[in-house]
Amino acid sequence: MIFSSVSADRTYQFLPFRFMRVFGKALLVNQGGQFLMLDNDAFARFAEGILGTNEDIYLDLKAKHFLADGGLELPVEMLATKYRTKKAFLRSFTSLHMLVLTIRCNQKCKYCQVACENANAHRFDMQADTAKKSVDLIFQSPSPHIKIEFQGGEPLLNFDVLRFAVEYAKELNAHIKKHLEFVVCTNLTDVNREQLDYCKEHEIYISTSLDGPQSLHDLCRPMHAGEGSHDRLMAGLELAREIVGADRVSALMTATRASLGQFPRIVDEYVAKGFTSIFFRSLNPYGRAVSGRAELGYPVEEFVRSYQEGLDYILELNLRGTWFVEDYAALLLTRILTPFGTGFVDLQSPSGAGIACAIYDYDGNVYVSDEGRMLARNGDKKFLMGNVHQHDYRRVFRGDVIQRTVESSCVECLPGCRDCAFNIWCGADPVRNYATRGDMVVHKPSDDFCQRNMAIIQHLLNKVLHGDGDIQDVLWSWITRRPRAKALSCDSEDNLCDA
Amino acid sequence: MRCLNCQTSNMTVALIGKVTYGGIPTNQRSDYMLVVRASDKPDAKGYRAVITDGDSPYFQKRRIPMVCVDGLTSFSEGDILSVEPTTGTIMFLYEVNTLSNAILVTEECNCACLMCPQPPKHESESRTQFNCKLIRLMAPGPKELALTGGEPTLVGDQLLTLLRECQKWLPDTNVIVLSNGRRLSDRRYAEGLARLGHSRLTIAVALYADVDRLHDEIVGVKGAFGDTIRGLYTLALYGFVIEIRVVLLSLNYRRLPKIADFLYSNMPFASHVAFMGMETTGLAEKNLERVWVDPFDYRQQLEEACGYLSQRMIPVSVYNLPLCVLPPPLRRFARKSISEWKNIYLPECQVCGVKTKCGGFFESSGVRRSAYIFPIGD
Amino acid sequence: MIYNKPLLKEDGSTEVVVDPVFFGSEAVLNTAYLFTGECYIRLLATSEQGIVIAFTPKRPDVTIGVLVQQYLNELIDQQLRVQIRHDTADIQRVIVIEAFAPLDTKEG
Repeated sequence: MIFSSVSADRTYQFLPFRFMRVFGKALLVNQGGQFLMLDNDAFARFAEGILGTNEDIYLDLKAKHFLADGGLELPVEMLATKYRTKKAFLRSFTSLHMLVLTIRCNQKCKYCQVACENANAHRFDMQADTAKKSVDLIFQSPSPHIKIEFQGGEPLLNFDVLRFAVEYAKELNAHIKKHLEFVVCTNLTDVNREQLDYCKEHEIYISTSLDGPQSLHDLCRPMHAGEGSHDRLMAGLELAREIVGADRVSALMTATRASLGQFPRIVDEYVAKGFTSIFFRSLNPYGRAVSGRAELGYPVEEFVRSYQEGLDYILELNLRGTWFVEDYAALLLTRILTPFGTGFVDLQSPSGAGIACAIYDYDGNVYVSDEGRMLARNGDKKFLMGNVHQHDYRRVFRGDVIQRTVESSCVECLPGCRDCAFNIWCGADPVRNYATRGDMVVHKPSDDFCQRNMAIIQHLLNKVLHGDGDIQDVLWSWITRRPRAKALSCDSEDNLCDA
Repeated sequence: MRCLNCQTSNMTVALIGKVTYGGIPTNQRSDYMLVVRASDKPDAKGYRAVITDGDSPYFQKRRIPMVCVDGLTSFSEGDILSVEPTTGTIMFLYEVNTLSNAILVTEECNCACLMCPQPPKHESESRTQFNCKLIRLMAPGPKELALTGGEPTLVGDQLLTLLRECQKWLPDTNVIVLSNGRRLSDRRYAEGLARLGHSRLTIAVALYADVDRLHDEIVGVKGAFGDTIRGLYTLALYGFVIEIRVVLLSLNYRRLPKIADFLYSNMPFASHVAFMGMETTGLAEKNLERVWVDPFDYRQQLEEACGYLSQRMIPVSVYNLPLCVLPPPLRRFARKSISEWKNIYLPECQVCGVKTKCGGFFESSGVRRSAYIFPIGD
Repeated sequence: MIYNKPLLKEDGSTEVVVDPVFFGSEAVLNTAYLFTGECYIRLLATSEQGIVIAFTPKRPDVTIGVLVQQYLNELIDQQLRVQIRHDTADIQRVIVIEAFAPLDTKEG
């Protein structure tokens, strides 16, 4: 490919980038996800095309692919490589597959997205043949990594089919040889030894929910009969750690109105109970959370304030020697500070719904995401991709539903997102948009999702740009998932080695 | 290479051979040179040559090629020498007691780096046949072997031949090819190298800046930057273990932290980054005023660059710099990288508390050294 | 004059006129979009003096005077974004194509 050089009257030309005025300066972000801060006057000179070619800033902008002089072939190739790296999740296609083993549950969480049936209504269980057909479909995914996540209701209530699915998947995988992982999302309130032994034997990870100390947790996560679940969860947790090991058990929390302002207390609970990370999840506007909005919901600004307070508290903990990670921050920091992208279905461009994850309901219906499944339960089948008993892989994963979802979720094409400096670190959620506002593409200035993510990204950027060396070390310990090394003493030569 | 003077007899052409103190069966002796005192009269039948400390009528009578040197202590069992009778020079092609061994693939180069310690020369003959023999003699081989030059990739498929010989005779040796990477952007060539399936191969590629203008100025070829980057990309595509080497000069040290960021952002697949102090010989000596900078003056940038990469879990090393000019937090990255045969210490080093851990200096450093060399207390 | 002083109208809207020499309709529109959370915006027919923009607050707590100033400020940046986008649109397209093009279609 032959490119023309810069026009005669300018010494350099722009490479694609977005900018934002923030922290009293200009933040520039390029097509590969690299960023640079410029003083406003330097930015003005850059924008006007009058930057001197010998200035340090000129070389910085050139090295970081914000401007090009001379040939375009090399900068294009390098930016394409970086962009491709950021979008590496596309290569795998669908890697996260969620099986809804049952919609029965022994709890009745106030914000539950699942229309919870009585714990004995077995007709809402996934049957073995549905599980088999689902796993058949799963293994037709081109992804070399497959993660099968058992969900519900409470998936342990249908343990027989869980067993069947695991063993059938392993049987298929003996020939196909993908990297296969299993996770069970359970409330752990009724787990027994036999089930945990099975998880250990088949290397199944356990993901559970802990909303905070007992008073907070029991407020929103009661058992079906109404009593608290915290004690039973603690017992289940201890047993789980004993049998499968602490490194295979993780927890996440959902923030409700009651938890706002309490994030430090919730972190304390996590630390006390032996966890090393937390995910500050905001309430999803689906299921019971919608009808319970008055009691549970909150304006986005309040969540952001709580998040910032919680994050700062966790940073303090780290600085004082306790290694503890906030998972959402770790994810965003990986996107901001490293050349790599991350998985995370809820914040991808194009959206991960369908192309990165899929959910198989107890009746064999396949949806682009859990939220898509919830809409169908309320009568709107917009995100139904197909059914494992009736349709083949092509119809399910190459159909209209996925197409439309992808088309509506590329930040480069969305109003408000297209010119946003954060867009390569961010994503879109067309299912959420449709469920809450009736359109897969929302009005950005009034979008809570946008407001929340922009505020969090800006808060993190502030730490990145203005945090001292210790803060940088903590942030990097989250990204690399390694507890901070003790500072090497100046006189320690233990690490010198011969060539 | 380490060299010694000698006087030869019964020798008209250059010979290469492996040092031995005896005990080689007669039918295997033709590759070996026997080390004996001039006063001894051993059975020397079949050896390529004998190395003695004086004239010996015993060997003269038997017309055995003789190499006379002043003392016999420099020779270790298994060393490989070449003896050139016309100049009276012994060259140690391989020394068993050293960590750094190298094979000169070619003296030709497609760059003209300002600080090149081994300026390119035109070669009329290929060295490959010689080098193949050398590799065979080296067996079972050193822990690490560098294939260097000039620019090794200029010999094209002969480089594959050399690597195949390494696989055959030196299966446990880690081989590192030192290259400017330019020819490695040729996908077919890189694929050919990859298909060898050498299990212990690293390609070390030199990159000196984060912008083409500066890199090209240092290597003396316009467009080299682009070639090298494409070479690195191609190597990554074929799954090679890649090391990136940055020599520190007056021209690039100011941008060192930015260069570290450039390497991380664009080549995160690198297994290792080495920042290298400059050797003040060859073209570096010729261009000294243009390229020289006191390492003490770039200690801050070097510390920042090493810390930056280390934080991002890219393994980093500092080569060719003594511990005293490095700020204490940097010392953990320093390696003993200078080839033993040209490695010296200074008088002030005798009282230094960390001498045994320090890489010392190049023999050629007498040309110019840091003004901040001092012994470190215990 | 790049823009004139904002004018409060009888119907409660505030009008400002921007000079089309400095600001294209694309930038005016893009900037307007950003403020449609807080006010209703009408782009009235362009006159000789320029493009007329009318702002009506959506809620009583919205201070229109401040908002109009913010709009005009942001408009300058949006005009720059339009220019950058136009200058780099082709390059961006090529980058994305190259990023996802199969390996065997590339030289090397």
